[in-house]
Amino acid sequence: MGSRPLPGLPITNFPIPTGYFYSLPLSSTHSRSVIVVNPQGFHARPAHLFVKLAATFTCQVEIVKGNEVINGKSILDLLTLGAGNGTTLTLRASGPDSESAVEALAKLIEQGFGEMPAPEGQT
Amino acid sequence: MKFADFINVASIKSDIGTFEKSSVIRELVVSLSQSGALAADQVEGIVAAIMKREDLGSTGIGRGVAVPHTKHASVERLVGTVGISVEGVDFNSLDGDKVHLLFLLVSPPDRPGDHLRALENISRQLRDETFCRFLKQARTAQDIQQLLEEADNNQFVS
Repeated sequence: MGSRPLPGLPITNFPIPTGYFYSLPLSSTHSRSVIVVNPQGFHARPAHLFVKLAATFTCQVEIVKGNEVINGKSILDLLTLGAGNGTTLTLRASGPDSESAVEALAKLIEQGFGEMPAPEGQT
Repeated sequence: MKFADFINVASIKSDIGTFEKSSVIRELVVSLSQSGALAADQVEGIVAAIMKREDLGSTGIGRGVAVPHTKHASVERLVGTVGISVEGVDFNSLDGDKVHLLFLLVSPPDRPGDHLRALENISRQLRDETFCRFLKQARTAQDIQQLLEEADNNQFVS
């Protein structure tokens, strides 16, 4: 039964293991919700840090806010969200390293872009 | 928020006469002070604060645009101006492009929301390629002012 050709596919001479379709690594997409926790929100410096980190991954990165979807590798796009403190965003990445990208980028937002204890800092 | 809510039109510079980052910033801050939007005795402090902010990471946001800014206790409301550099200014932007279009902002320390909404307005409008191109091609302060008004009236919104 392992060597039976699958319906709709060309007949092959080599055995195709059962469950082939289920284990096929198609495009890998990961997503996660995060809340903007730093008091100043997603202003220019956080956007710069986010894009700089996102650029270290090969996968595509998108940010969803409500029904808006923007390119997570563009500072200009990120700033259009005007995401203030308390805003919920969904990070979505697709590509080979999407899982680690979502993890790293979510962590950056959840740690407040290093701005959490700075009540009097420059923005 | 619209451009008219924070851009001081009298201080708009259609051709920044210098190519170095700190001189460009100084020229725009001086222009804001000459038009009465900033106190003359605060110019040095504001230029220094904006440069300190640039040291934390460039405010170049791509597409040849930068948004140098700072909080400053001497202002009671958000004020800003626009500058255009035909030659382009090296701003260490992430995309490596020179900056031709500058939106300089000074905001009161206790109003982070206003600053965020100004950035949102600037980036939303500039995402429209036509608006961005027209603005970079503008050669007089009147042309810039007119383009900002048209953007405020949603004539470019994408």
